[in-house]
Amino acid sequence: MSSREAFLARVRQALQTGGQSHHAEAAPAENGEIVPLVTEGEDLAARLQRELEGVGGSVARVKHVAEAAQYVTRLAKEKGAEVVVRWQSDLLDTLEIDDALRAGGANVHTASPASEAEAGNRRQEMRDLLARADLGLSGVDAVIAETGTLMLTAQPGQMRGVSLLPPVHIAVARTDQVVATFADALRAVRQSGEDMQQNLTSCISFVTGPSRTGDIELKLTVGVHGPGELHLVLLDEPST
Amino acid sequence: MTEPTGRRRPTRVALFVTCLGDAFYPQVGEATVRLLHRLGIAVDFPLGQTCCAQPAFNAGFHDQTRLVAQRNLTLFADYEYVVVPSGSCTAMIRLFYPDLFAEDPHLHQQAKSLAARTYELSEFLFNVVGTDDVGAAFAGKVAYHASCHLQRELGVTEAPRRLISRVAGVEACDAEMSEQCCGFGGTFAVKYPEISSAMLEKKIASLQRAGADTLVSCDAGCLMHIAGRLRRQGMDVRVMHLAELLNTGHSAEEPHHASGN
Amino acid sequence: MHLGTEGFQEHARQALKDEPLQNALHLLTNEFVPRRVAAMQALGDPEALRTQARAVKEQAVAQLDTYLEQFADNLDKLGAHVHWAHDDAEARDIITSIAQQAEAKVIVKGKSMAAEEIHLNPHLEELGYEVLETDLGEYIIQLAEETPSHIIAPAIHKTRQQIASLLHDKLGDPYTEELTDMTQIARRALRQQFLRADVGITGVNFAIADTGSIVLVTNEGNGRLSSTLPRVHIALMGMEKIIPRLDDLPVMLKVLTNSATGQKISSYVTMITGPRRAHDLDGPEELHVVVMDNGRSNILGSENREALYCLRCGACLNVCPIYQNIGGHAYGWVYPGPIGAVLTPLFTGLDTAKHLPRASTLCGACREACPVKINIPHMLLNLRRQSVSRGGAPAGEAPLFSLWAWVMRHPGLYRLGLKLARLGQMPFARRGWLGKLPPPFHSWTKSRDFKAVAPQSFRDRWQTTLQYEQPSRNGAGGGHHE
Repeated sequence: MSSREAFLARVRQALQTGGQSHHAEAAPAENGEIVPLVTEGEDLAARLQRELEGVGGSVARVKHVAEAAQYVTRLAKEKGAEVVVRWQSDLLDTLEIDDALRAGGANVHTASPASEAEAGNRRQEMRDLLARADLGLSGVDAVIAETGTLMLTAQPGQMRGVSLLPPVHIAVARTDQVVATFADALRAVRQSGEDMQQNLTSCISFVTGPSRTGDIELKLTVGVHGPGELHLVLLDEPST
Repeated sequence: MTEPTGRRRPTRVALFVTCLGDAFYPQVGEATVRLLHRLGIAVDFPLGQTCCAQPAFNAGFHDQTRLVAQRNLTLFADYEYVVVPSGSCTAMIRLFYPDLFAEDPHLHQQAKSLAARTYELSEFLFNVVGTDDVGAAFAGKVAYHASCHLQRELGVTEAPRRLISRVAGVEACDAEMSEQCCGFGGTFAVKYPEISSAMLEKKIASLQRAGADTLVSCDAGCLMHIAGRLRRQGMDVRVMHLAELLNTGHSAEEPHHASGN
Repeated sequence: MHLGTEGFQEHARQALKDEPLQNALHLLTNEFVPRRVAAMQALGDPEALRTQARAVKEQAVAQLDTYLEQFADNLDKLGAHVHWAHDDAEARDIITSIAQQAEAKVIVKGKSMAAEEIHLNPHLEELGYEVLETDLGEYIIQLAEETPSHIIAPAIHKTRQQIASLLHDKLGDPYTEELTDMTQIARRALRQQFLRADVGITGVNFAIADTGSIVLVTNEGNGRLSSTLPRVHIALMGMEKIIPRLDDLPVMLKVLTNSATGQKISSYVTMITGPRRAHDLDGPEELHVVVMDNGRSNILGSENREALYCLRCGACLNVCPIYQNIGGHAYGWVYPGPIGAVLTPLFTGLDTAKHLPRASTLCGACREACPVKINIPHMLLNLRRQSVSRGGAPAGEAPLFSLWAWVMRHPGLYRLGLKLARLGQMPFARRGWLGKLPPPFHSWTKSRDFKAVAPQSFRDRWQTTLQYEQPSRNGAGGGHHE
């Protein structure tokens, strides 16, 4: 194995040999964008809806938490969901959705973090549940209007697998979580704390529509590895 | 008639006719001379000229390239403008001559100077003379083949199209693949004949779909390649250099058919 | 295994006769090219985006040592392991020893050109590991025991029927040509493996120096699964994948996905910053990042440095009239198309891959499509020159061009040459054209006529008439445009 020093020494040597006029300085694009795809004053929620629907996701605009809960329950029933795994999140808690789903015949499991000692068992338990879950229910950390993208950070209550393993993924977001651009979403991450590496969490998944492939004759097919369905419930009621 | 602002109209140019133009398409050089004459521009033809040296350059033989190219630095040293009825040869002179002579300050200077004074015909007419209407007349459905070096090395895309569109009687019918390479590529056509021919087939199919009866381009190499296949297939599509088209309605010599001369 | 680069001409000939391949290439050309063009146009100012993306890569590569150090330091802080591989053998050994320590049996793989480059799968399989490609296209290729033919659409050369038979034969599911059913068959088969796998191996699309993050850009979700479910995640990257800042990511992502598939963004963009944290309920326990040189420092130190700016988007393949006709396998190694014609000689040696830089018309469509404006045609010219100076020119070319240069330097000889050609062609010329040429030019006339040397060259016409003609005094004609 090469040591880091030996490896980098070769790189430095090559940079010297190559020389040329290669002392380029690129400033990052202002705001991380060249031309934002979102126009000033555009209705971000409407744009988000158009973009996400454009790539095969569904978007439901609802006015109240009760309406959101109803929508999720109805969808779960429609899909015949028996096992539901969800994030632990304040927004989902306020929907008081677990009872409604259970009333509809589904088992609901929440990815609630465990103590250090129990974490190992908890992980295995959640993994087994996710492997057979029919539906994953999550919140979002932000939604990006210009591309119709959900930003999902990995946190103790926010398992990556919820938006990944089940065939159906439902995400609930508030309209005040909608940002204009990808760069705006990154900015929100940056501003969420002092330590950027902490803010980034171990994994941020940017999800835009269902899992898709064009690997057979370039024809679009959904649901190859990730969810074949992505539903976003967009709640107009602001957080309180 | 108004002069283009801030620029003196050229009165004298040197013609670099290119080796393909000299040997195979003399009518292209002739049309160029007569066209320039009509515009009131005198033409010199330095007789010592042969080739821009691109074949050797593209094959990787830079020493041989320099031997031939260096003569052109001297031959054309005293002309304010050098006009070339070929995008490919112009690109050779403008882009690659300076690099070829980068080691020798004197020759490098000469090469840079020649590069700055050398123009492909359509860009010379459009950008330097400042005209897009040379008073030509031609009845036909004309498809334009944008030769690769002209459009992508020199960035000349508008000039030939504008000049064609202003020829009286022309119905422009651009093929959807008008910017696609015809597969000529100099010695490529000989070294990789199957690939080259497959590319050419696609080019010709797009011409047919466009319903063109005439193909116009700014490079004799592409014209020879495309016409060679049209003729082999017995297809009745005229193939013309832009200079010939722009000289129609004025020249005794009528454009040739692919299946003709 | 790859076909190898020496038999390029023969491979190309075979490809031209391969009807399913030709249909697939036709489809690819008609789908991907307009999609990319439309997508880039929709970006408002695609030129500005490309300029910025190029500037980012220029900077990253020009200060690669600094950014690699920063990247590695950040990964250290996160508790990830960084490994440095000088060449392919080292990269394979590093990955093998990680797999050994993990006591792995099953390894799932996301799509990675870097892994193709080091022939990782055969190596791991030989050692007894069960290795599964999980990108649908790569999975199909693996079942068929072939190699990818396109960077983005690896199985583009296979028809739906061929794939249907393959799934039926290899997995035992009932035969179906329904895309949805075929996809679900693969999903079920691979999902089981994802849950069994001990190690997940992925490539890296971007490695962000100032945060230590790696970014995976996928559509299927297999990259997410490979980096989430197995206990150990190994990310293999060429060292040029670095971008300096997180703030560079929006622009780089945009040019990548729009150029690759014409998507504004791919279905999944996964930004991984270290292994799972203490209280996370999923994600890998260990993250290993393998930074690979494997010839890249040679490129870095050469005139072809900008080859390292490549994002592996595949746009140059789709627009290339050569690729459109012969597909990916004919190029004989991992990277096909125009960028392959540059990278393959640089990675595997110019002497064996000498056809690749020559088999191009230098049309420049690749450069026009490239999201970071890599000047591929000029690099092909560099490589041709290098090949000649190493004695790699095709037989007979050197004396031919010496003779040519001698003739072209002597206009009298040149004129004599034309005269001789005129005499020689006399018996064969028909109305100004030749139906047959002698070797070595006979290949032209297999499918095309060749123009006969004109009875009177331009210089003859000049000397006899044209030089006496005068420009018109008033400059008749020549209406001015604005």
